Amino acid sequence: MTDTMAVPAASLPAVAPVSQTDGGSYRVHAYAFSAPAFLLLFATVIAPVFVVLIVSLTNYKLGHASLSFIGLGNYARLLQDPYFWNALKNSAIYTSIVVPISVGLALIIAALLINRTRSRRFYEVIYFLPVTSTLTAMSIVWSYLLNGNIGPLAKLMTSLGMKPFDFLADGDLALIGLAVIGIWHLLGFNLILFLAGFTTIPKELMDAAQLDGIDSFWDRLRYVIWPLIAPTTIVVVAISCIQAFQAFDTVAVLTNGGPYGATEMLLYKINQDSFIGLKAGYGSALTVIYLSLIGLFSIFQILASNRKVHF
Amino acid sequence: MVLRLLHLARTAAVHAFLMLGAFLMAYPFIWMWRASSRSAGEIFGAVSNPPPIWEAISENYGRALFETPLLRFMLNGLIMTGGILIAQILTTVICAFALAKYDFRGRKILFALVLLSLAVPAQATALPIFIVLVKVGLLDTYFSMMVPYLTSGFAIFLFHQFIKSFPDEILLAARLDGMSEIEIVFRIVMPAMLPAIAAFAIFSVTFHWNDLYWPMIAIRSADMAPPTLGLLFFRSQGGGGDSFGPLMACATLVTAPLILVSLVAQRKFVQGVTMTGVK
Repeated sequence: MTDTMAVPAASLPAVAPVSQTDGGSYRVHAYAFSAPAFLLLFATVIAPVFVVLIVSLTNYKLGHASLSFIGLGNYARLLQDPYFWNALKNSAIYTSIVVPISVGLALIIAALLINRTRSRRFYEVIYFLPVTSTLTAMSIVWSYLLNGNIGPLAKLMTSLGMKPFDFLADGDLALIGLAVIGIWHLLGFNLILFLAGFTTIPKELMDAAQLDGIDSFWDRLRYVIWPLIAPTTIVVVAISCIQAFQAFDTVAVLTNGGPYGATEMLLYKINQDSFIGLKAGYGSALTVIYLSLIGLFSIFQILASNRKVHF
Repeated sequence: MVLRLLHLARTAAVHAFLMLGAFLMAYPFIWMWRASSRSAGEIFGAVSNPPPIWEAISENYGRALFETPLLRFMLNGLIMTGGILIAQILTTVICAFALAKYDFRGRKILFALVLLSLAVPAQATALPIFIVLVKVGLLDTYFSMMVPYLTSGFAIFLFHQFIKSFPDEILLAARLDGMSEIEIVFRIVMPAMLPAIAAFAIFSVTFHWNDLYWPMIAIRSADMAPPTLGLLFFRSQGGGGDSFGPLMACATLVTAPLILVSLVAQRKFVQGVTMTGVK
């Protein structure tokens, strides 16, 4: 093997691109190799997206034999559906709680961890535990932790003579309760992304900052770390927004959207209308809205991670 | 001296903050384990003479393992995640190789489709796939559990990046030695990319073991349920006091495999779960 590799590359015919000059002797391979993945990708991603777009223009109901095109009727209905606006509002509130807190805390913790050499791994492991855990199982645990009678926080509040929060039963608190779980679940993920981002910061720069007398943690965070970590932050924010808009497990396990729609978020409503209500046409219109939102965040994230976005 | 003390105090404060955070992160796991290792009376209030801990553990875990279909759920989960992973690796490695090492008509379009698919969340394609599964009568089967995930645009993208930097000279040498293209992929390129495949495997298994959304749509009977859906079936049947310990034991056993792997192979795990970003 080494002998063959020692042959100067220039004396060999170019390997790839192959088929252009080679009369296409590898063309068959190329199509044969990429066919299985692309047929599947087409059947399970591309085609379904187009089907959703088309079905969203019909009044199709699952189980009904006939359907007719109603143009943008579903979208018009959607704009006047208070439950849609409620779900969108809840998703937006949930996102605006989860994203700033989980991103901000992760940034601070990452900045504190980069100088820790020995304890860093220990903290990484612990903070990362929720990310890999099965959220369905942990949601059941959380339902007791947030319970107004037996939860530890409730007990603490009672012993202090306060009226305990009953997070999941109280319409004003339920969304916050889910957001707490969302932050718990997302924080370690964001932390790891930030730590990965920090490795790109030259250590000399941090040392130089210390020599220049930027001693306080907050000043270092603001003047040295932040400008360098801002591009990473954009990516982390985009990813966190996607995750927050995809919140489903906690709603399905803990609240079913209640009490009185207080925690009904976008994905849960899509699921209900499409698969429980069997309103395929209307559910598809909701899906198109959802798809555009997530697609926007994704495109933003891909652009940002390619460093094509400069701020 | 004063500076040293100040430094020490600051380090202590940092650790106090980090420890508090770590405690809050770990607390639900600690609580789950404690709840699964105690008798029902102990959890919700003081009992005068609680039974020894090993008795409660064997009671709760024994009932979880042998009186509930938990093992069946775990087996279903194993079949589902394993099947998905094998299909994904088989379809994506050769595809990534074709995209990275052959120049053919349509290559750019295909690659653009891969990138586009990264922006489509799995839930958005659920309804059409569900309709087709209903029409062909394949709902509630292992096939229905796996079908949306038999390939992965993300894996193609990731492996493509890796294979692109694989030296062409080695491929040429292998060709001169008379190896067929498929042999080259499986005997030369794939062994070299095992780290990337391992990282992707961890990502894929974690995602699908924990997924609740698609199994809720595709699976109707408890017999076919993967662990996440199975837990919900179990909870809706049992409910209150008496089955609480076994329920927590089930939750612990469902969560344990991934937690254990993540403790043993933390680096790989972090790499696997975070390299994605997209899904």
